[in-house]
Amino acid sequence: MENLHFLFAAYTAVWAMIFLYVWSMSRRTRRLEQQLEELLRLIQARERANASSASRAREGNEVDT
Amino acid sequence: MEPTNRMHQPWERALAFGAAVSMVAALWAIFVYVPTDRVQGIVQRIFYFHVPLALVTFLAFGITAVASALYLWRGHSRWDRVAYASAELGVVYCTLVLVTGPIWAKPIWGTWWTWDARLTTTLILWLIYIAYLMLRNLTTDPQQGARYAAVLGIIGALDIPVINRSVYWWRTIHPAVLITREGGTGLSDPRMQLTLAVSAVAMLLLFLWLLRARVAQADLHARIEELEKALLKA
Repeated sequence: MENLHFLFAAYTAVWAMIFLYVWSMSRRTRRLEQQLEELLRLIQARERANASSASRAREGNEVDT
Repeated sequence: MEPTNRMHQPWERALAFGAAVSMVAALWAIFVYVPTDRVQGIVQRIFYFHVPLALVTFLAFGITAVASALYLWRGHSRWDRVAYASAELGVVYCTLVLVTGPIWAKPIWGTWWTWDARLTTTLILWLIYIAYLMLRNLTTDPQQGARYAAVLGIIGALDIPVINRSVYWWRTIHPAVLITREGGTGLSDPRMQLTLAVSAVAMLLLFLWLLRARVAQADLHARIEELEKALLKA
C-alpha cells in the first residue's frame, strides 16, 4: 500500500471542494429566497396601501357630490 | 411565493437519485472492484476521478461556449445565465483536474508540476475562465459585461481541442488514458475500462444536477432584480 496518502489526498480534495461548493451555493440560494420573500411582502403591502387610498378618494368624491 | 430552486419535477429527483447511486457505484468500483495497476500501483486509481473530471470540464466550457453564442445571437438573458453557471462549474471541475493531476504526478514523475503541453494548455484553459468569472463580477454595466464575457467564453473553448490533441502534436510525458498514441486503449483490463465508464457517468450526472441548481439560482437572482426595478419605478 505504498503511496496510499497520495490517493487519500486526491479523493479528499475532490470531495472537500464539491461539498464546499454545494454548501456555498445552498447558502446563496437561501439568502436569495429570503430577499425574494421580503420583496414580495413589500409589493403586497404597497398594493394594499394603494387600494385603500384609492377607495378613500372615491368615498370623498361621493360625499362632495 | 414559488421557490424556484426546489426539486419540483420528477426528472430532477431522478437526476439527483441517479447521481447519488452512480457515485456510490463508482467509489465501490474504484476502491474494491478494479485491480491495482502493476506499474503505477495504488495511485493509478486517481485516474478514475481525474479523467472524468477533465471530460466534464470540457463539457462545461463547451456548454458555456454554445450558450454564449446563442446569447450573442438571440439576446435572451436565459442563455447568458446558462453560460455563466456552466463556466463557474467548469472552473470548479478544472481546479480539481489541476489538483488531482499533480497529486498523481508526484509519486509517478517525481515532481508536482512540469511544463508539459497538456498540463500547460489545461492551465491556460483554467486561467481563461477565471478571467471570464472576474469579468462578470468586475463590470459596472451587467449587459456589457455579459457580452464581453460571451466572447471570452467562446474564444476560451477553442483551447479544448488543443488540449485534446496536445499529446499527439507535441512531445509529451502525459499518459493518453483513453486512446494511446498507437491507437489502442490506454486501459487494457476491461474492469478498468468499466470503472472509468461508471465514474464518468457519475461525474456527468453530478455536474448536470449542480448545473440545474446553479441555473435555478441565477433565475432567482434575475427575478429579484426585475422586482427591485419594478418597485423603484412604481
